[in-house]
Amino acid sequence: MNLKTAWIWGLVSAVLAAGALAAPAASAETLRICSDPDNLPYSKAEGAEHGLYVDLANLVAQKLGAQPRYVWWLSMNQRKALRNTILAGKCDAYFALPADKDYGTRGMKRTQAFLDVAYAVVAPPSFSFSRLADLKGKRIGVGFATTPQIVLAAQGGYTTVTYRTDAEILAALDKGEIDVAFMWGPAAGYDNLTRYHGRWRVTPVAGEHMDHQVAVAVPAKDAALLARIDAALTELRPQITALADKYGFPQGQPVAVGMAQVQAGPADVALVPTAAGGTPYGQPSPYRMMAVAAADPAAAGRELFNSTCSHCHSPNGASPIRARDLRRLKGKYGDDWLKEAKQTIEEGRPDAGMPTWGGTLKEDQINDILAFFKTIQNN
Amino acid sequence: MLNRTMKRSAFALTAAASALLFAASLANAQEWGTYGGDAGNTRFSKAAQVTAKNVGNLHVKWTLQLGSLRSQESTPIVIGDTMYVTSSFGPATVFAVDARTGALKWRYQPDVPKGIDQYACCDVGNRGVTYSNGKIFVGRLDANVVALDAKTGKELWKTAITDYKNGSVITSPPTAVKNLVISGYGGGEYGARGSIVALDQATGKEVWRTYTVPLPDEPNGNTWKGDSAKNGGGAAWYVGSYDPQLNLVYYGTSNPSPWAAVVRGSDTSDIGEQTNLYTASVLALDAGTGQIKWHYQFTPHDAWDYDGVNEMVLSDLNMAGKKTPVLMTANRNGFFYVLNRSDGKLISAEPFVDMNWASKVDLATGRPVEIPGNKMRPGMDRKAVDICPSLLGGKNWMPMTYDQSTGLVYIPTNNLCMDMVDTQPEYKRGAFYLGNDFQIKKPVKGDYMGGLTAWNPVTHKQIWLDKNPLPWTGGTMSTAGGVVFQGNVQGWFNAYDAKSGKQLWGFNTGSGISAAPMTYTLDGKQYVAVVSGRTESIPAFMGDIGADVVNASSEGGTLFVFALN
Repeated sequence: MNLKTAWIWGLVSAVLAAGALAAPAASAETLRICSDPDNLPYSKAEGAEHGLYVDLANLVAQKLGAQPRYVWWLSMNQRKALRNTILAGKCDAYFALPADKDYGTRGMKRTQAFLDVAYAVVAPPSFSFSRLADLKGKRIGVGFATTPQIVLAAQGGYTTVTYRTDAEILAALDKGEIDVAFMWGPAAGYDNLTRYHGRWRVTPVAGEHMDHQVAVAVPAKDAALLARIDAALTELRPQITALADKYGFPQGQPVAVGMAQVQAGPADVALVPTAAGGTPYGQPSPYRMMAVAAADPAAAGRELFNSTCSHCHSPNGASPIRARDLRRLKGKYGDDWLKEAKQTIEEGRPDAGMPTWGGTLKEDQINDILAFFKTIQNN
Repeated sequence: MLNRTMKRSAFALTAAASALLFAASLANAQEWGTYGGDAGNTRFSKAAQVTAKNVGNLHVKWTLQLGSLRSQESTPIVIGDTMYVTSSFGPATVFAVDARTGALKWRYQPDVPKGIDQYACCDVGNRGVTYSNGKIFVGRLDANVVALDAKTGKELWKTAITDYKNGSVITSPPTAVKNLVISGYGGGEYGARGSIVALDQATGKEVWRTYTVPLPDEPNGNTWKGDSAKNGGGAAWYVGSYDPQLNLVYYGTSNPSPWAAVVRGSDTSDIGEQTNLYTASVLALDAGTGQIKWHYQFTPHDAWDYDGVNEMVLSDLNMAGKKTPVLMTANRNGFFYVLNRSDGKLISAEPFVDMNWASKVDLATGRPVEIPGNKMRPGMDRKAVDICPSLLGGKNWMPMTYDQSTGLVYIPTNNLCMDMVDTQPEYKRGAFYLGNDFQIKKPVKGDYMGGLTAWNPVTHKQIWLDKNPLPWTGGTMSTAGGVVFQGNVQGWFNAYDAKSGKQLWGFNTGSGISAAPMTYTLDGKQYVAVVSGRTESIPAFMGDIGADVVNASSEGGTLFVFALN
């Protein structure tokens, strides 16, 4: 019986019994929860520790006055797991899924995000890590095909050592084969706590592709249940923080690792096309090395823009989407356009998906970008 | 030529078979002794009882239920009067049956680990077995190569050539060469480092192993960025070819790994020296030592998942009045390559399907000339749109045939395009990764998505094309009777006039066909055989088009054997 029918059945029996001997409707509720049976620190079916998701699901069920019942499904293939559980009507809530906007959730609705999850830098406490460039010259352990591997490769100038699993990275750090690890934060935090006696500092990072959030998913039709779980999550915020602590999820202030922070390393991409292709390349890759010490602020701003902002605003700000076309700023905001642009870069427009760059970009970098904007305004 | 008295002595038969298989390029019209018909994978048979005139009288003689559903990819082989055929999933079963009646002789059903499908990127198919010296050799999904007694099916030895948990499953029959049995494995999608391994046929002991990706301190190690080579892919997951005169074994290699090209080198068409050897390449290996004699890279620093594994078809072509030993391959990247197989020199490379990621292959450098401005090369946050062909290739693994009588190759082709970009975040078990986002789309040109292309490898001309509204059409086989056979995703097994492309006959097998057919002659009767059972995993890559492929037929697993009445 799913939650909704259980609840209706509860009502019906209450009415039938004219309130005389019916137990409160809520006590008949079962909250069927889908999760992965073997995926610590998130969830585990058996053993002493059940993981953050399961502990939280129990608390949510308690708030709802329901009995939790677990439906386990391995999530090696996430889509397959969803198809066979929540989308097959086998549970009322899936703990948990990405809260990211572009994560497809057809047939489901998600609650508010309840937890930050991000990549993290793992190193001895003596290592001072406040910006990505601090990793220069270090042997950095990364996971195969993970975001840090790809982002560091794209930026160049970093020495990475690639491993297949999170466990291998930490073992290498333990043996001194690498100086730092740049890996998935929850995995690092949990293993640091449970297997390495908390000997490392695990610092979460923030930046594009690096930090995410997770939410609970319910079947799309269960709007009422969604609202109830949402409310429970709000009330449970202190408990969620405590659980994050219990399972070692990195909790500190994240270090911003925006691409723009990084100065150019030794270029492993030739800036000038070689003779092999024979043709000049019209459009530089957004990840081409930034020109070092550019004398022209507008040119420096353009490089920075194209490596940082062009994902959303298109190369050189010429987005085909009108609202993102930065050649229209002057026309749109009139004389105040520079002030407006500066404020938007610094503070972001969270509702429109524009991140806050104030903590990531330095003052002079923002000024360079503004200098570049001046060169592209439509008349 | 083998006759029926010889089959009593398995050993004599074997020796004769190995000597004859390639040399005569299937001068033997009786047997079909290896996956590709001969060691050169021509898939051409001199059997001529079934002709363009009488093929309309083909009827089912017997069938064999393979016992597993989905993704049947096996081509049976016939040695003497015994047919050996495999099912999907493991293989779940290797069958030895009487080639006249289908009467069961033995079955081999290995215990393959549960849940192995998660390690098989592209389905749980098995393409068949290899016969040599009285033994049947099978490559399994769990990365074991096993030897079976050809008479009894008893397992003689079993050797794991890698760890399947690295995504390195085996789906193709190994290559038998003298006393060796040679196999690669998959894993280009999972960060495996490819290698080709030779085992002793008698004991299963490893004799040589050649990695398809050099580490930084090895020759050509400079073609990789950082330490990316150690997870560099280049898996040789399909069948090899063998030239006994040159004593060379040829294998194609898969895409490099990971898909995000920036990890392996430049993120632009300006790739410099980081070409990621020897991925998306053909390797010619000394059969005795495994030493790489030459290599040719089809897609340097691949960013499209253009595997180079498609079979290498060996024959001698008359090129400009000179008989030339060539290797032909219809690559996923859309070019049909002809190389001199003794030294790897490129003779020609011409588009055999609509394609637009490169304008041509420069014959002097051997390199494709990409469209300028990275327009067709996907990169980090740089989406390339309407790239043709799609990552499924102008041709996928389904094998082509080289017909000695017409001088044409018959290629199962796909006409699909795609959009692709690196960086779409992926979510796996609570963690996020940067991914590669692609969407396979209907073609830019043409109202069809698959077909059978008759192609002249000397003049680089398409002779005819039989169109199919859906992609993923099956493998091929041609005969001296002037007939080309091919199945399709709708489940029809068709015969075409080799010269004109006119469809002469068709039979509805009831489930989609990917596997390539074969033919053999016993007691004066020519049989034609094909395995039916539609693909399951591949359509998942194709979006809405995939739904049409799945809806085109039901799941299945049956071997059909036909003969004239």
